[in-house]
Parts: sequence; C-alpha cells; structure tokens
Amino acid sequence: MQSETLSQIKTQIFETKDRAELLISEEERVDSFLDKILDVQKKITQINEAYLEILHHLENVSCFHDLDEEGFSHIKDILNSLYATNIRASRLFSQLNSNSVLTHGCSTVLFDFRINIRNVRESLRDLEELFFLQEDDEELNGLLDEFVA
Amino acid sequence: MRYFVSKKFLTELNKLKSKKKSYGCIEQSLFDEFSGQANEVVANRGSVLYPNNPRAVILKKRLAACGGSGKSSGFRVIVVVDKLKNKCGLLMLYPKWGPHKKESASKNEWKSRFQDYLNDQKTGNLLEMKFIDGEVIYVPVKS
Repeated sequence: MQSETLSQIKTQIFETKDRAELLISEEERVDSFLDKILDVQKKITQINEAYLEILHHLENVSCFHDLDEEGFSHIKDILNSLYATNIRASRLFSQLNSNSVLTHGCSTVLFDFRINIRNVRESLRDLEELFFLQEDDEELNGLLDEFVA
Repeated sequence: MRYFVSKKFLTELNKLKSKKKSYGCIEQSLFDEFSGQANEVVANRGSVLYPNNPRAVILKKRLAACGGSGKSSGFRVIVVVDKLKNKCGLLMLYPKWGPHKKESASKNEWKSRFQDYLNDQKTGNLLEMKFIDGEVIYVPVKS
C-alpha cells in the first residue's frame, strides 16, 4: 500500500515534472527568440554606427575642389560604391520593417537606420551636385561678392 | 566668429520653436553647434554646397535632434561663412523629421534665402545671433 502510494506519487511527480519541462523548454525558446531580436538590434546599431562614420567622411570629401582626373575618378568610385551599398541597405530595411515583431522590438534602431539611409542618400546627391552637375553660377557669385564686400 | 540671421530666418526659427514637442530644443542645438566654436571649425565643418569663392563658402551643417536621437534625425542649417572677416550668415534652417520635416533644400531655395539675408543687410534689418549665459539672443545691427 505504502509502495503503491509511492508509485502513484512518483507518477504524479513525473507527470508534473513533464509539464514543467514543457514550460521550461517553451521559456527557453522564448529566451532564444528574444536573444535573436537583441542580436538583430545589435547588428542594426553597428550598421548605424558605420553609417554615421560614412556621413562624417562624406562631409570631408565635400571640402575638396579643383580636382584632377584622378580626383574625379575617386569621387565617382565613392559615389557608385555608396549608392549601391545604400540600395542594399534600403532593401534590408524594407525586409526588417515588414516584420511586425522586429518593428516593435527594434523600433528605435530601425528609425535611426531609415534616417541614416536617407541622410547618406542626401549627402551623395549633394556631392553629385557639387562635383558633377554644378556650373559656375553668376548670380550666386554676385551674392557671395556682396556678402564679403 | 560672429553670427547673423535675416528676419525671415528668425520668423522660421520661431515657427519651429512654437512646436515645442518636436522642435523645442532648436535653439539649444544652435547653441551647441556654434557657441564657443573655433573659427576654423565653423568654416570647415559641414558639407560644402558651393565652393566657388576664394573667401566665402556655403555649407550645410547637421544639428542634433531633440530627445537625444542624434544628428541623423536632427536639423539642417545652411550657412555662408566669410573666412576673412570671421562672419557667419545663417541662411536656412529645416528639420529632418516631425510635422515640418523636409528631405532637402534645393539650391534655388537657399539662394532665395541668401538674397533675403543680403536685403536685410542692406536695409539694416539683419540680426546678430549672440550666445550669452547659455542662451541665444538676437540683436539688431546697423548696416
């Protein structure tokens, strides 16, 4: 009787333990899922940091003028390469942004990511205008002469 | 470096400032960017928009946003700097986010603001932007 009772208790314990283990494994899955969101968040933060560095470098590029052929070639390489990178970044943003879990879990870094993509695009267009599309502007030259007079 | 703004610039600044929630920090951003800065920093930091004058340069500067989101989502200010006289004219200011957000400013837009600035300079309506005791004040200047 005592042994049977012990057996029953053992069964009950094991049943309860199985139920607990099931919950634990679900909890582990949730943890692993949260870890993955944190990983994504970390990676987007790293991309954002790289983008801020790029923006800083692009500001420095704009200070160069009176370029020779080699200089223009460098500028073209920079623009072509970064335009391509920015398109890849836009695609990645679009993928991440279409996942509702990520848009909630990584909202701040995704917001910065979108802004950074736009800012790099803005800087690239400014450089393109500065080095390749801009003509000497008589009217603006006149305004500048008046400003420094 | 001395800083000057047109009346139109100040009107636009006040319009942004009135949206306290989004742009309440705008003057703090201007203060942080310009107050106490070395002349060389003011004349060189930013994206060059028009370099075709040996003495003056037109730059686009990135200012920090409200709420610590950094410069990415902040403001843009377009300035003209006279490197010899250490004079900086603030021509145009726009936010990159919020209700008055603007993606970019066209050359025609900032050229028109430059014209406004010079008109105010001619008519004695220009204002000097000063940084005193952590605050930004605007003082009328005579031409």
